[in-house]
Formats: sequence, C-alpha cells, structure tokens
Amino acid sequence: MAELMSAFAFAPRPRSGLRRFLRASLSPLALALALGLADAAAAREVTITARAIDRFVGGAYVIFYITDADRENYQATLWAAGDQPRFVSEARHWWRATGHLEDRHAEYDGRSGPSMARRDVLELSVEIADELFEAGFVLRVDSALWDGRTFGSDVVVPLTADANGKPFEGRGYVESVRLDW
Amino acid sequence: MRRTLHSFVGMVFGLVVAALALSGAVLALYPVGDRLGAVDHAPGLTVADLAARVVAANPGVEEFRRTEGGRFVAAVSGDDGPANVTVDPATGAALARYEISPLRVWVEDLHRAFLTGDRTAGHVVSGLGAVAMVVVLLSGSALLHARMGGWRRIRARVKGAARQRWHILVARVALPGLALAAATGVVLSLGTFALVPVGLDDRADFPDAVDGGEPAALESLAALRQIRADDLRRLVFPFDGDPEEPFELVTRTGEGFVDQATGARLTWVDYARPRLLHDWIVALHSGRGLWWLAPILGLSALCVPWLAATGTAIWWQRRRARPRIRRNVALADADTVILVGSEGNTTWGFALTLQDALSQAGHFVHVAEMNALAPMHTGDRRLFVLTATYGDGAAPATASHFLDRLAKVATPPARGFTVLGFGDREFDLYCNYALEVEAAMVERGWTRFAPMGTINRQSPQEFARWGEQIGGLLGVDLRLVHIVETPRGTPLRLIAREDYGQDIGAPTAILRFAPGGDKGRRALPRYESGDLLGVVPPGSTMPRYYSLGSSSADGFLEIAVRRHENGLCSGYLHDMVVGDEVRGFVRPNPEFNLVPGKTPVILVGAGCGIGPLAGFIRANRSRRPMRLYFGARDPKSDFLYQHELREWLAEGRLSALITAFSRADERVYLQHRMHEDAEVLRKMIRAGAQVMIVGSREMAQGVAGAMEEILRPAGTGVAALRAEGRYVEDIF
Repeated sequence: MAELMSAFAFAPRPRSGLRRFLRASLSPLALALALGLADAAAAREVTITARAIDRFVGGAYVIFYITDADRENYQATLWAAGDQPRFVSEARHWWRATGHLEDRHAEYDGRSGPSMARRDVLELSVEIADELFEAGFVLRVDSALWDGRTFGSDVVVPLTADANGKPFEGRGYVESVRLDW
Repeated sequence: MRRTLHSFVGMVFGLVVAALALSGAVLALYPVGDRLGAVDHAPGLTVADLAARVVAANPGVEEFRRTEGGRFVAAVSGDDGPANVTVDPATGAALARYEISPLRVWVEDLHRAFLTGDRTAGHVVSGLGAVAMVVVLLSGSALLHARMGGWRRIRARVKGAARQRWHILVARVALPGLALAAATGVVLSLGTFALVPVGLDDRADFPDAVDGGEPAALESLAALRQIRADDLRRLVFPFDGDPEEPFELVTRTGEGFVDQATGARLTWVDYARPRLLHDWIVALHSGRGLWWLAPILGLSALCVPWLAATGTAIWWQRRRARPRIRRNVALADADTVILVGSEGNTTWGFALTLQDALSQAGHFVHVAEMNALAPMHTGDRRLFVLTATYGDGAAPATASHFLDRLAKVATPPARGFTVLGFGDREFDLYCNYALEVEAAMVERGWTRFAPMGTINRQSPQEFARWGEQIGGLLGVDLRLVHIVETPRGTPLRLIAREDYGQDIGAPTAILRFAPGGDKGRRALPRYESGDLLGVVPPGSTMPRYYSLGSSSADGFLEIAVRRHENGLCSGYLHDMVVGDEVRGFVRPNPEFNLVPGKTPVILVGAGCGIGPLAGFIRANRSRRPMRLYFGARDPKSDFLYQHELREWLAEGRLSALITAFSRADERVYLQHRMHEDAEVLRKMIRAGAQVMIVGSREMAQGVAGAMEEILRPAGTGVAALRAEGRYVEDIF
C-alpha cells in the first residue's frame, strides 16, 4: 500500500489564466499490478486531460476507470478525484461495475487526489496495457457533486486509435476528456 | 480585556469577516427569489402523480427536484444539450429555464471556501472567519452591556462621541441576525471538517439487483405514492430508461432506491438525528426554506463592513489618545495600584512619574484608569487614586463610572489607600470630585494610609512635597520630579470682540478667533458648538476651557468670557487686542452637542453661558424650533448677542426669545419666565424636545427645580429626561 502511494508524483501547478491545472502521474508498476499483468513492457503511456465545467460550487467527485462498452468487465480504476468514502457511492456506474469485488475501495487506494472545482483541468499520466486497446474497452468517467447531480458515465472514451487526441464531451460535471498517446 | 479581544480579533480577521458577510448578504437574496418563484399546488399531491405529470410533459427528463423554496426543477436533455427548467406541479409542463447565475456560483464559492473550490485551506479560512465573528459578537455584547448599564437599558439612547454612537447603534440592530448567522456558520464549518457529526454518511447503497420486470406506471409505484410532493428533495429517473436501473428517491427524512417494476424500496436509509439537525442548521444559516429569515440575515450581514470601519476608527482614536504606560506591571504581580481620573490627560503624566519613582524604590506598580476599577485591583495591595475634577465638581472622563464600580468592590485594599486631587483654587469647589471619592471610600470602611493631598494648578513643587510625605509614610525615598507637558495648541488670532457689562461691574466679552499660524484652518480638527476651546495663557501650564459658540463650518472660534477677579486666563483674554494671538486647542464635548434632527430644543443660559447656545442657533439651518431663555443683569449693559438674536428671530433660526433681567426695573428670574410658559414647555417636551442649560451651579439647580414642577403634570421629570439624554447641563 505504502509502495503504491509512494509511486506518485502529485504536483499541482497553477497556470496563469482562469483554470487550475492539476497533474498526476502513476508509475507503470502500479498499473501493472492493478491489471495483474506480468509483462509491464507492453503498455503505452497515455495522458488523460479532463476539464470540469464552469457552473457548480464546491468540489466535484470524478472517477476514471476502464470497462467494456456494456459497463461490464471492469478492468481498473485509473484515478479518483475526491476520495472520501461518502462520495464513492455516488459514482453509480463504477459502483455497479465493481460490485463483484470484495473491497472496491482498494481500487483507488493511492490513486486519488482532491476533488475538481469548477474549471479545473486535471492531467493524468498513466500507463495502459496495449491489450486493452482496440478490444472493445472504454475509458469511463463518472462524476457527482455533493448537493448536486450524479452522472454515471459522464464521459465515455473508446480505447481505439481514432480516439487519440480527440476531445470527448461529457454530459455532467466534466466538460471534456482527451486521451493522448 | 473584552475590549482588547474585540478589537484584536475584529481587526485581524476584519477582511475575512467582511468578505464572508458581504457574500452572505448577496446569497441571502436567493431564498427569497426561490420562494417567489414557487408555484402553488394541491396540498395532497404525491411524488408519484407529480412524476407522472412531469414525464408526460417532458419526455426527456432525467431527474427533477424540489428547491427549498418550493420550486420544482426538472433536468431535461433538450435539443441543444442538457437544461434545467421549472415545472408547474399542476400540469408538469415546463415553465421557464432555470439556471444558477455565475455570480451566485462565484459568491457561494467565496463564502464557503474562499474561491479555492473545495480545498481544505479555503474551508479553514471560512471557518476561522466564523469563529472570529462569534468571538467579536460575544465580546461586543459584553461591552454593550457594560456601556448601557445592563440588559434592561439596552434600548436607551446611546451617548458618547459620534463614532462610538454610530458603531453601537448599528451593532444593536444587527446583533441578533449576526449572532445566528455566525453561530450556525461555526457549526457548519465544524461539520465540513467532520468535527461534529453531521450524518452526511447516511447513504443508501446502490442496489446490486433489481426485479428487472416490466416497468410499472409511475402513478402506481408505492414508494413514490407514500411521499408528498412537499417532502421531496430529488427524484432521479433510471439511467437511459434501462429496466435494470432503479429510481433514486431523496426526501427530507431519508433516501434510497426504488424498483421500477415493483415500486418497492430496494434500499433505504432514514436520516438519523444528526443529519436532520444539520439540515435545520443549514436552513437557519442560509434562510433556505425559511425565506422570511433570509432578508433579516442579509441586512444584518450588510452592517458588518460599517461596523468594521467604525470599529477601526474608534480603535485608532483610542490608541492615539491613550498615554503610553511603558512599564506597566501586570496586575497579578503588582503590590501597588494607581488609578487615574483624567480629563485632559495631564493627570496621567503625574501618575506615570509616581509609578517611576515607586518602581525605583522597589515596588511593582500597575496603572489603570479609574473606570477600570474591579475587585482584582484590591486584595493585598496599596491603592493610590489620582484624580482631577471636571468643571465644578464632576468626575473627569476616565472616572465617570468610578463610584458605581466602587459599590461593587467588596474587599478593601489591604495596605490602604490614599487620594490625591488635582484642581484649581480659582474654582469655588476645589478638588471637589477627589473629596467625593475619598468620602465614598471611607464610608465603605476602607482605611487610608495617608490623608488626601491636593495639587493646585499642576504645581510640580506641590507634587514633590506630597511625594516626600508619602515616602516618609512608606519608609522609602520618593522623589517625584514631574515635568508638566503643556498641550501646545495652535496660535489663534483675535479677529473681533464685543464687550458688555463694564458699567455694571460684570465685564463679559464675546471673542472671535481665527486659526493663525502657517497651517491655518487645517491645524484644527472638526468642532461644533458645545465643544470646548482650551486656552493656555502665557505664564501658565494649565489650560482653561471655554464652550465654543461656533462650528468649524463658520470658520471662526467664538467664546463668551467673563472676567474673573483673579483669573489669569480670563484676564489675559480680556486684555487682548484685535490682532493679538493666544495658543489654544479644541476638545470635543459630545455630551453637549445637539441631537441631530428636527425635534425642538429648549435653551437656557445666563450671562456668558449664552455662548454655546448662540452657536446652536447660528447653526440652525434646518429651522428646528428653538426656544431660548436668557438671563442677565441689565438689558442696557450685558444683553449679549442682542442684535444677532433679533436677526435670528427674523430669519427663523430662533423661534422664541424670553429674557429675564435681574437688575432691570422689573426684577425677574429665568425660573419665573419658565413657569409662565409651563404649558408651552410641556408641549415641547412631549414632542421630544431636548433641554440644554448653561450656567452656574445655582442657576442650574433653580432651573431644574422649575422644570421638575413644570413637568410633573405631564407625568415625567428631570431625572427621566436626563436618563434619555434629553436634559444636559454645562456648568461653569
């Protein structure tokens, strides 16, 4: 656990302008362990850029994870912005997807950070195994606000080649998510 | 102590508190708007029926909720993306778009977390601001209680300098609203940091399985039918119309998930007491759901910047006026206490010299003002009381409450007390207040270790001699070397004078000065009639005070001076020629300023006492009714301001002038004239008039007696008017 946690470099870097810029990077080791893959070498470094919308007060809880297109076959949780247990159950689709696990909370252990305020930009550097691309899997983002609404599958980004560098719009508190590799 | 706490916390957290208050005031608008936007509906309406209507009218609806004010807002996916609309509960139809303005978002972000979004640091700042607010309110209430003289008198007229009056008046009005907002704010803050249980973890688990059958009609779902529309917080429809998804239902008392097919609750949690209490506290803090409370809280919050500004001004003024007691020993460590009754700060200087000398002789001396007398000051200590006398026997400024406080101190100082009075033998009642104080303390059975001493005209030699006596009694060598600090003042040039009363042996002059020197008008602070001009004649260190009969707006300083036989200052002033200069300074006298407004004023003055009263009349631009009773000796000789009074009568600045001359053909005194006008005076008093009297002690007593008789049929008296601040005497 401590090992996982020490694997992060979380450095918030405020940028001039109106949006706040947050950055996190996860070591290949961490993700490989999560995926249960022995061979961490067949993975590519992906940068996920997520922007929050403008019109809400407080911190939105946003979780990034991988499932297939039918919200099944849960693979891993990449990041949880806002990790208080009481928020976790607000991530409806994630909750359903991790229902079979004994301890869902361990999925985001060491992969969490502060919630996203309005207009925040979150940049994640992750390693995702090549196997998951072009195999019908999607990056799913759930978002929720404490005294606001809940959006399961706020953004859905298919892990395919033509999704590279293309922003996908969200229907909730996330304005858009873009993957670059 | 409370004052220090009040100013310190108030100023350190001033900006934070002001930001919280202003943002809170803005946010207070929204609950009212929310309530106004609510549409009525049948009282028995259930969520089931309402949901059916909303879905029928808005097929793409994803969820709908009820705001605290009673509006129903639906979230729909329209042609141009997601939108929120208000719906009519009777028909379910969309009425208008509902959007939270960016301003509101920004202000709420500021209020809750100081624009950091959700960061802990921002919440901490807000929380500390709320705590600071509570501390300031508590200490302020204690100060208010002490100043007004008890909770029963909390609504009495506020006396004192303008700045303090404004601070207190506004604080009194805003206190209840602010107290509620601050206290609830602190609780909410503690809840954010989970330092108090707020039950926000009362969540129903998302159900793992649902029935999965054919979704039933909305109106028939049991779990929805048992909740009234007014108890609804939110109903979220199943995602994408998927039969595998449940409804999410959140009400005021609980929340959970409902099966689409069976209508039964799949998982449910009833909120526990902490959660319900938390919701109440949110309502009390923000006015959400209690729309009538919101304007009260908002208006109270708007007072905060004003209070912060006036509070800072008061602090600054006190700081400048306070003598710096550099080596003041803490009370707990002191074996000697010096209490000071000072009007113009000169007595403080003597007290500090005494403190120095006693400290060098090995004592630990604590110096404080007489108004600060508390049981803590006695105990195993020796007490020195150094006090001046104000005017003709009244207590000086820093001793105004001393005798009241004396009554509450049970134990005497174990090592005895002594009183030293500072006065001027020119006054009939020399050191009168000091005598009063000593008599009061002796009456309580306290022991003196030395008989009362007096110092005439701030004489350093007399002070040194007194020091030797005291030193002898204490067994120490006490050398009191005091260098009197004279207030420098600014040069004042005599620009006009009118003399009266020479032939009847009562020479009186009206002297008009203009600020001289390089700085001119800027050298003097703002003053008005009733304030005091302190004049320092050459050859003296002690200033003499005269009531001003003009204001800074007039551009000159006018005083009426009677020449006293042995009077050093009055003699010097009378010998001045137009063009001569004398040094002087201005001191405010808020007790003797007119209450602003248009209520009538009854002015009573004799001889040179008409000085300040003439100033009031001259400044009566609003033409409020002013009735002047003027007493003098001979109309041909000492009828001061005779011409001006006639003009002012014609202009309407003065409504009535009644004179009483004691040496004219018909001997009559002011009291007689007032008795003749009894009915008129009663009418004026009923209309809220204030009475301003300037004269000698005997004259004031005579007038008070007459007024008492005049007012008796009206059911009131002089004491009652005095308590309201409507009967003020300036005695010379």
